[in-house]
Amino acid sequence: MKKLMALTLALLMTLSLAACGGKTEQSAPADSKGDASTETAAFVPSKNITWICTSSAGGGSDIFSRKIADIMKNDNLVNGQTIVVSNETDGSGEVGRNKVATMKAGDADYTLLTFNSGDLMPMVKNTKNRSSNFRILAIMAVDKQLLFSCPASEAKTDYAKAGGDQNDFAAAIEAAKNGTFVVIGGSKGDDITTYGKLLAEIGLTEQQMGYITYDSTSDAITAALGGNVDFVISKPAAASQYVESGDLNAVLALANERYSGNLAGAPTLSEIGDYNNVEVPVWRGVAAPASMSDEAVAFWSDVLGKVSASDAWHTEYLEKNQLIDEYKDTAAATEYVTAYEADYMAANGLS
Amino acid sequence: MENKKKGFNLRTVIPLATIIVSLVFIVVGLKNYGFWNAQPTPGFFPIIIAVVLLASSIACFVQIARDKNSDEVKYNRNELMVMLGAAGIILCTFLIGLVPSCLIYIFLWLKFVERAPWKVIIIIEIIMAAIILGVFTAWLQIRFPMGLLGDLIF
Amino acid sequence: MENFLSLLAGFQVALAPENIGACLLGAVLGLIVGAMPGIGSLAGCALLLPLTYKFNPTTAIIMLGALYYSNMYGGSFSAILLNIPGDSPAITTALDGYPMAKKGRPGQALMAANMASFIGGTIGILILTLTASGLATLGLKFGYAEMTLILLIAMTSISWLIGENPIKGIVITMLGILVASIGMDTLSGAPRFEFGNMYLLGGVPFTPFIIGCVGFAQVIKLINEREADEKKRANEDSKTKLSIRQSMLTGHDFKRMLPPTIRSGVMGTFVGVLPGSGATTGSMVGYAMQKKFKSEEPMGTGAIEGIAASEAANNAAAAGAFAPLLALGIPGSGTGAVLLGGLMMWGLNPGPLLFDSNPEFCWGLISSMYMANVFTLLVAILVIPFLIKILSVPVKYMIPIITCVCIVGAYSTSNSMYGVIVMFVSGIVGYLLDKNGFPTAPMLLAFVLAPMLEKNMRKAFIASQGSLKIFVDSPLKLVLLAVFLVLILTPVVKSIRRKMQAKKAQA
Repeated sequence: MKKLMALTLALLMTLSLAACGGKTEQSAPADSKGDASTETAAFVPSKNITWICTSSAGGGSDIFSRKIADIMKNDNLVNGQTIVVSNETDGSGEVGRNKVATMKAGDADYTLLTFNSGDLMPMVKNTKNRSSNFRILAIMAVDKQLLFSCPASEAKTDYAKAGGDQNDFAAAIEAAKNGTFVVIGGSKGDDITTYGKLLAEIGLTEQQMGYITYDSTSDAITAALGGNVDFVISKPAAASQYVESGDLNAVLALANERYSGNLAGAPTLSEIGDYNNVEVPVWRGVAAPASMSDEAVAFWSDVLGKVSASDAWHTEYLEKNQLIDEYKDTAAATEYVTAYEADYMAANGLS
Repeated sequence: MENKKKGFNLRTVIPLATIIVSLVFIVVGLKNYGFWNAQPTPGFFPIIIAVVLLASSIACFVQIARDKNSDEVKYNRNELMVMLGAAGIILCTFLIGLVPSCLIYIFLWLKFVERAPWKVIIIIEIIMAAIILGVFTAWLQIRFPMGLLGDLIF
Repeated sequence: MENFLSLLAGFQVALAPENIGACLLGAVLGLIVGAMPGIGSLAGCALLLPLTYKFNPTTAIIMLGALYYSNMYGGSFSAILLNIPGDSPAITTALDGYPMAKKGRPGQALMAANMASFIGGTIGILILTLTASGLATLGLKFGYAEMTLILLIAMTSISWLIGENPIKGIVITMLGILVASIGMDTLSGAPRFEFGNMYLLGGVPFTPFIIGCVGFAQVIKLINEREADEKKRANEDSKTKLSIRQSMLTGHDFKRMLPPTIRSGVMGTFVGVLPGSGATTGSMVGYAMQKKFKSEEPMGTGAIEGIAASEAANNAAAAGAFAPLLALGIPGSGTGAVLLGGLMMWGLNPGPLLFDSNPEFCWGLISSMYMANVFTLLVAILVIPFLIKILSVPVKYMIPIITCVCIVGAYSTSNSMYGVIVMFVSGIVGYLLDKNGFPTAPMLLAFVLAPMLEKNMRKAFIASQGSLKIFVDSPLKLVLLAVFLVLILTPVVKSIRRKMQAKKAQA
């Protein structure tokens, strides 16, 4: 028994040493400043903040959440309080979102939720929660998509085997109309919506131009590199290095105007035929429980505005991920998200 | 089936349960998710599997029912204790939080089930508290539920 | 040659004092966390990832590499000592490791696992060094139809784990597949078999499921061994002290484990390279392959060959998985995905450009794997005597301790009580199955492999628009199909022949 104890203690010592060395800020004892001054008008955080992220650690949404939390802490925007990012992935994130939606007032002022277009779509489709069950605090960044292809890959699809040109989307549309099956790949969420809109615009069916869903954009790109799909839908950042290395070709800009830089060669849909442009903005935002007080909403919206204006946000997040800087405060963001949701529901026949 | 006298006994519980499971998956699958629509639909793979499960479960049921030699499966009262203990922790978690529930359970178990000496109980309690609080809470930053009581205090 | 020059340059980076320190720290921490029952390599890596944020990218990734590596080692410890595989690759290790520990040779079992891991890992890293960029492109040659066939072949290897009653084995395998099909259908993005329950939308989470099925079910059974354990302890007046010396393998042991180790090491590397297969498939195929070779003791009863085959394959696959990860940015396993997340945090985008744009980083990482392998082996051997002490704790005190560890571990994987409830329910189900003579290992493996199989098959059907032709239209596919058919039909033909012979003998 003694030996077991000695062993366990030794383990613990190692662990705690490492913990001390590894973490800069252990949750410091909450300072009581905030409690003493019972504020009347302005909201000032006086206890720890929980930031719920419904995606797993290490992914895009997680990095987004942690980056903002870091900047808030480093620039001392939250009265020295600690922000704990909690990854709650139960039920594909629906459980976490539902928890935030139904949170009681009080705690609600100290709860933030990462809320992206990719979160909204499955939520609206699979549950009864709507964006009106939340307070939308801000939109922080927007992204758009392109269609890429890898003509050098081994021909495994019908279209490639039939000698179709994977650099020419107009030719692919023709081929699909004439009965050659064309496959597009992409990840779930945003990319499927974009595919649906594209299909509707060019007037094809799923039997003519099919879609394979991948767990992530990187999986979809791999499939394109391996010749398993003809085209792949991706945001610029995920595909950028493959374009640089010459493995992927930008074929079509899913936007109202062409991109710049090495993606400038890709035409928009209206350039290659008699179609309207297809553009589905992919946005990243922050939401809060519906029961959050108006003072707190104003405070958080303002703090997020400060974050989006900071240098760190631009150099360490936006530029690194090639995102478009587009801060919307709570009023503008709510309006934007509501319109987006209505549009999505109409397109999918939901009510 | 063959064995009318003892056709239904404890040993056939598992195949009976899997027969029910497979039927549920087949019915729900066919009704909601479809089998084939120009290409496989979400129901395709699970339904095939459920059909195989149904067939193998029936075979398994027959096999067990026919086999009169093997002993009845014996369930031990102590085994139920372990399950009840864990269920107790889960229920208590909603009241007083996860960490206290675990520590109280360890104490109760060692004291009243194992009748361990105080020294052992204290050592184990200290080690477990150190692991849960030190490793999980402090280092890995996992926030354990506080339960109703904890929510009232904080 | 060029590769080796780059590797030498990589060593120069890796051998800087702070990098050695990081590597050692990573090895120690990874081993401890990986060895904790129920945490395992996946959760361990994810939980320890934040520790590396404080270092510069190269040092951080070296530490991450060591963490990843030692986590794989650690996973086998709880599998052998407690019959709780820390992660899915260790499931097959437990099949022989635990019986061997029960036979009174826990030290040797751990040592065999360590040595096999080391040799398998070294083989994997060597192959990786030589072929890193080439291997990855090989993986791309495989389309969905080929992957479907490979996964079918992998699934048939489950049947080798089934044991004496094939019908029960099939029931349990199918049950595992059905449980895995609950949740989101990834291809259509629509919920499936969630029965209106919001929690089930995300499916049954793997780690709590495995903690319950194996770990908690084990605790429930453990209580019956309480009295026997007490008696045994009363008889042993002076407990035998287990030291490193006594856990040394004999020359004979070593001779037994070397051939499976090398075979599995080579094969595991190639399995690891295939996109989306990873260490679990590696260890399974390695173990299944060993069943086809001669072992001194029957497999599953504590044969050292079984431990060696499974551990060598899983570590080799872990190394092999780095090829697609670095060269293409495809993670081969859940743990690989966590590593990928770590790399991206550093602004390094694994992909075709990485070897060109960040050579010092890539080769630093590969050379650090050599280092991590050596360090982890040393640390692992040194902790064996301490780990064995776990076994000297009376069984009756282990019951409440492991119960709590299961609960706390299940909670931490998803930050929710849902994980705990899944753990509890699957624990009871696992216990009932085990009581009735249903083996649970096939269920866990089916649970892991089935989603991959379904995804690849459905993608193949989308690409072919529902035509079965896609599975037979190339020589490679025909070969794979033939292998699959042979594997599936051999036992059937064999049993028919045996019955015929039995009839003839009667007549």
